[in-house]
Amino acid sequence: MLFNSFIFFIFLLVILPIFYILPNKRTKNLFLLIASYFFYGYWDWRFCILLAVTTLTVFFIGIKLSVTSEKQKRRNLLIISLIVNLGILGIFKYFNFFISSFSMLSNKFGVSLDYLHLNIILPVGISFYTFQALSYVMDIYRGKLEPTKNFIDFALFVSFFPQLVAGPIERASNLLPQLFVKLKPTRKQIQQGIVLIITGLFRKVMIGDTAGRIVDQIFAEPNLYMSFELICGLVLFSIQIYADFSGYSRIARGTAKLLGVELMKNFEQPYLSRNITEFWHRWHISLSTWLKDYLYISLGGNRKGNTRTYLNLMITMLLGGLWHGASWNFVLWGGLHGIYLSIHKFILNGKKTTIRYEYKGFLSTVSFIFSILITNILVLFAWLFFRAKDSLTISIFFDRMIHWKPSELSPRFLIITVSFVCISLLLDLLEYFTKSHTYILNIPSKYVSAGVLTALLIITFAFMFQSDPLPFVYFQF
Amino acid sequence: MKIVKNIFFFLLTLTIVLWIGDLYLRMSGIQDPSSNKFDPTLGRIRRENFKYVKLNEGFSINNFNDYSYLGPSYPPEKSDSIIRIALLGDSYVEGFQVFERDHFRSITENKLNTQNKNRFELLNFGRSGLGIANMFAIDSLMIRNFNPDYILYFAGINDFYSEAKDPLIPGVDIINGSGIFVNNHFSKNKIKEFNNTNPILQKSALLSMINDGRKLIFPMRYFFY
Repeated sequence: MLFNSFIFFIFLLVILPIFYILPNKRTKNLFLLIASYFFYGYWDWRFCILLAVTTLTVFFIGIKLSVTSEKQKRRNLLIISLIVNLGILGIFKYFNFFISSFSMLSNKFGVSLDYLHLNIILPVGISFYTFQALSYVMDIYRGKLEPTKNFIDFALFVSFFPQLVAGPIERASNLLPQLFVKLKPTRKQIQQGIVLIITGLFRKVMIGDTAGRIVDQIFAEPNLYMSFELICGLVLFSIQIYADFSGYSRIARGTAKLLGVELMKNFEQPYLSRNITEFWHRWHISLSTWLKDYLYISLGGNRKGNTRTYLNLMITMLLGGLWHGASWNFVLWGGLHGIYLSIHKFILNGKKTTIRYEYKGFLSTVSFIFSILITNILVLFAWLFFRAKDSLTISIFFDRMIHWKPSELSPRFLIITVSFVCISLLLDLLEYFTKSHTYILNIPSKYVSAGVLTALLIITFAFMFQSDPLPFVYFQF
Repeated sequence: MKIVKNIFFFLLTLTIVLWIGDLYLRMSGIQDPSSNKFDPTLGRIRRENFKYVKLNEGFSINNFNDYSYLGPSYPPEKSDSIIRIALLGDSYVEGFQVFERDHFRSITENKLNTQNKNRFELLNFGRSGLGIANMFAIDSLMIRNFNPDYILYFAGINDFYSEAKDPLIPGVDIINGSGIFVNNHFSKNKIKEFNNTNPILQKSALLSMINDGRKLIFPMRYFFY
């Protein structure tokens, strides 16, 4: 079920009271586990089987790893875990993609591989929970984590419904210890949870979905649109994907808080980044840190010389791109970000950058705005490869930029785009300068906070009542 | 006293944020206020010079002209050298799903004007939900005032089966099986209902959105996604 659907809120209204009255940790965790499987099985009950296979494999390998001291055996156990989990991911997500790619090559030699295509659907969120489960095994293998012997706690860690289908990709070291004790949300957590759910829903529905309606039309038939209109479409997509995913992450964190669980932040105003390195510290944080910890560092990170560092960076970003979807455009997108990061690393030459902007006079503000603009132009350019469904779309975009076609509707497209930019920017600036996702709670009068939240809820529900919910963009990953 | 103050602040904040939200809905094209108004002769018609963004089964950004129909503002008067063609039909002709530049009206008009010595003007009188009887009534009450040389009716099979369900759109009465009379005697209750609500819906995108949602509440369709 989608977070932006009424059925989810009914689900939440049913499970929360039951969860609160359950007496102890064991029954609470068991109940949440059942609720999580129900939540996941609501799409298709067969998805639950894959989730169970991943859970069982990782759980038993984790225990086995903890009692095995021989290096080679430990390595073998890790490899088995990787083969099983990445194998499932590979079959369901990438098999048809690689067959199609090889088929294009083999067709030139008169050999058809099309018969190998599997008639399967991509289980929702498989990339997310697979990566989460793998981090658990790898942490045990590296000696950073003690495995849990409580199967229910572990199964809940893998399937915890608020973050099951689109993250944040949690680390066992953060989530598991919270499940070892009786979950009991504090008053503050409940308040923050409600704020995160309402603001997340507003972002997802009123910014993400509404921008997405226009984006989908423009990218479906880009040849119908003039140059400026296409640029607006691309800007709107950058807003859509951010609002969509960050909105989802907020609802996930908010829902978890209502259950007494703290999930990591996944977004920290990425479009206010001053350079591409900072962007990746702020965009999809749970994935970028996962890739850094388990892929980039495993490849050697920056410990094996400059050339190897750049190579490792490129490999990480290319695979990170492929993680997003079984298509070459995602690989291109990842590769482009890999190039950006490599160039920025080269320019920095070992120097560290500050994490956030600090006011040091007028010039520092000008420099802040200018660097944000440059970063956003680079990010925007890369989004084109991410969103374009084929090379024809990309070529139409380039053609329209080179051979500029004026539009009589430019002013109206501009107003629409600026409206979306302004609302998105306003919400981000408030968070950036208050350093909080729940700044609404910092307003001295609770009645004013309640007024803001009620208004946001009225607007969002009014839209939800008159339109079909759009799935999260990241569900496909 | 403190409670009154708190409630006041709550309502004040609520109103301000809703107002900002309404502004956002309009500017971003998420929702327009009501595009209709009432005319005693023609019933429910489009508001003149009303700008809209449509995202239903397609995408278009357009506006109704000075005379409440789509396309360039051709006034009722015309010179004899101009050949004027009125296009009349339902949503297929209205074409909310495409931009004006891609609409068959403008494509045809451009073609006719480049391939002929005479100047052609094509007027789009399409309107969602019209049946053949409504088209005939609108033809008699409005379109003939624009002095068209030709009136093209675009009607599918569905347009012959029923009149528009909208009680504020003119139709026809067939008397004794042969005489056809335009009927624009609208129900007084419906006019009153429309005039009571429409001025508010014309001013607020948010209330228009709530009004649209209200019509869909009973099917309960969204509960099962």
